Amino acid sequence: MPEGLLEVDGLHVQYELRGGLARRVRGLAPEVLRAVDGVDLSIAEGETLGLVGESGCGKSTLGRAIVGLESPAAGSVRYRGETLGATRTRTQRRRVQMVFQDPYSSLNPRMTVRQTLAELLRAHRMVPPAAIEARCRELLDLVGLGSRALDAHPRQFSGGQRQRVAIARALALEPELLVADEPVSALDVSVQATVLNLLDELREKLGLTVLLIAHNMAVVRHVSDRVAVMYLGRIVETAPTGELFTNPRHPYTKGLLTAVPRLVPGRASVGAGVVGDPPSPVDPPSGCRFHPRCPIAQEPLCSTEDPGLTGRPEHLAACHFAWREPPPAHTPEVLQEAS
Amino acid sequence: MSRPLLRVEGLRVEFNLARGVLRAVDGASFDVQPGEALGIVGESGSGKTMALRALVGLLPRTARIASGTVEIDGVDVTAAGEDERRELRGRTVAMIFQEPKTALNPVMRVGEQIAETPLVRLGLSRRAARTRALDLMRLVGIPDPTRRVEAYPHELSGGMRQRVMIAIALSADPKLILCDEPTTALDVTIQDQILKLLGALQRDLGVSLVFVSHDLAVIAQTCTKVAVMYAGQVVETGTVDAVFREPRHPYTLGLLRSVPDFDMVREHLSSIPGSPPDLASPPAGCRFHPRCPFVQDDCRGAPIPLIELGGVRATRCLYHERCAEDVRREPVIAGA
Repeated sequence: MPEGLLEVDGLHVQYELRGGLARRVRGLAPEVLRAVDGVDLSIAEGETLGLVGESGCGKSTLGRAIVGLESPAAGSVRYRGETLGATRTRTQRRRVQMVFQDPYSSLNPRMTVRQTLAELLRAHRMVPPAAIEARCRELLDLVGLGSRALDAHPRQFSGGQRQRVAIARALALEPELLVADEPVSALDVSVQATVLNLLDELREKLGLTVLLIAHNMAVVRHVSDRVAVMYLGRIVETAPTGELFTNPRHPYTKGLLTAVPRLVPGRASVGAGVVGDPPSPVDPPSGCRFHPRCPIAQEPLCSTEDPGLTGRPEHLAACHFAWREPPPAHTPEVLQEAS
Repeated sequence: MSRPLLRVEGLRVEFNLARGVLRAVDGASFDVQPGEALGIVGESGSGKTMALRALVGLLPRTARIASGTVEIDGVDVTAAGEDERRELRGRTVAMIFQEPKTALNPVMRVGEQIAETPLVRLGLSRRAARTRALDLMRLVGIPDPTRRVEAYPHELSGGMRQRVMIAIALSADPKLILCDEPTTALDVTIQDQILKLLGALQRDLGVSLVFVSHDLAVIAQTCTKVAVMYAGQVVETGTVDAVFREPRHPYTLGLLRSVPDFDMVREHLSSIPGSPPDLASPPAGCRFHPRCPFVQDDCRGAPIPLIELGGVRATRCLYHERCAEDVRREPVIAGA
């Protein structure tokens, strides 16, 4: 595959857990939570890549590491061939911007929209001082808010409007890559569509590349060109959206898709979905990390050997049986323990 | 039809605010037959949670039931005293909340919390109550119950905590379980597990469910009947099948069209323009009229009553035929 706009290579992000001191006193190494544990990911220019997975799988941490809000323990993030370190130049920061989940806490409540936007434009010298006012208006126009909003504080807006302000703020720096972390999940159903449509519109108009982090599979299906599925700190499958939804190869992806509640009444998930709870990323299972919840896991293969991503460059899956006849389904290990 | 287990008629819930009276629920009517699952769907501020809480007298202190009747198993709850209501809550009706983390007692072992009702209300012995707790934990699919019975809520995952909540809800053999967004805080895989569990309980134990959610798909999978709420009012009722395939209220129609459908990918999602009204001063006439694509002059005048459409279907729209036409032009959900 050609080098993408953004290349993530063997990325690891870890957190030392609290209680580390107590363990150190006793001569033990502190517990480490490996939120992102060896991720390779490539984002092509102009595409929308959906990143999905359960909470705690590390998808937000990966997004934050890409933007530079987390410093990786190992691995690299490259942007147009240039490595983006933990400390980034102003230009490097400008190119990759983020929209957060909760517009109620991501905006400064004491600043008007004008102050929020003008500060950024000034600090990054985006436009000459005399043009700041005009640019603020232009940005609001871009996200579908009138210039009357300029003098308002965040509290005067609804959730959807706040998210528009947050998007305008991200766009103020004229980024090329936008990382949107659950941009609609805090919003009401009828408002979600307008924000999703806006993101799509902006992508077309400004030629943005978007990394959309989301848990809602229907949303991802509607707006992404390609999807990456994450499980316990690792990417377990990537494929073009249509293919991922119709021909998933990883049992976790299959379970995840079955678990989605459908709008068509009675089209209840007939399959098993995914059983059990996600294991702790502090002490992930050996071999394939999904094996305790997997209905086709084989012993000892799956509990000892990490399958790694295999397949065609455009469709990769990390399962020993992704590309061959899977063994018959059985009761996953997590449920066997229960009985 | 047999006598409904729950009958709500003209329910009004009001808050007294400095700037006037806020009518959070304004004339909600619905009923639930034994063994039936009713979904109440709406966005935040639509009054769905307040309507649910009013049923068991769990309203915030500043709110009150201004008028209407709520009958549960033949008992008029609104006229009942606190003692009678508490008895009802303990025995006939149980409730499951959105956030099990805050609804459970953090300093009490989950086993004790599940055994509490059998011990206190059903008068079981300590030993029998513990056995009952273990049985319930097995019933709701908590693995390794003999160990988990000693656990504190914070030692369990969100999904397990919600299973504990369901076990507590089931502990007095209720006839009716009120669920307030029971899966909203959970991951989609865990949500799927909990929804399947609730479905199985309804089927196997014959309990009735009232299921409040903002998630149309969750309602579509768990309920047989639905009431759509907007700005404090029930604007449409019917079987889930009928309402989702052929909505007869422009709000329901708009809502269905704005949700990404997993089974039908659209080029462009439509959305409802504007935002819900301030409940302290709702628009005259139809409350949805400022946002409605089919609005006519008579929508802005007198309040619109619920118009019966036969069976359990009703709509609060004078021009519901327009919705039907619109759906014929373009289906709202896949496979319709």
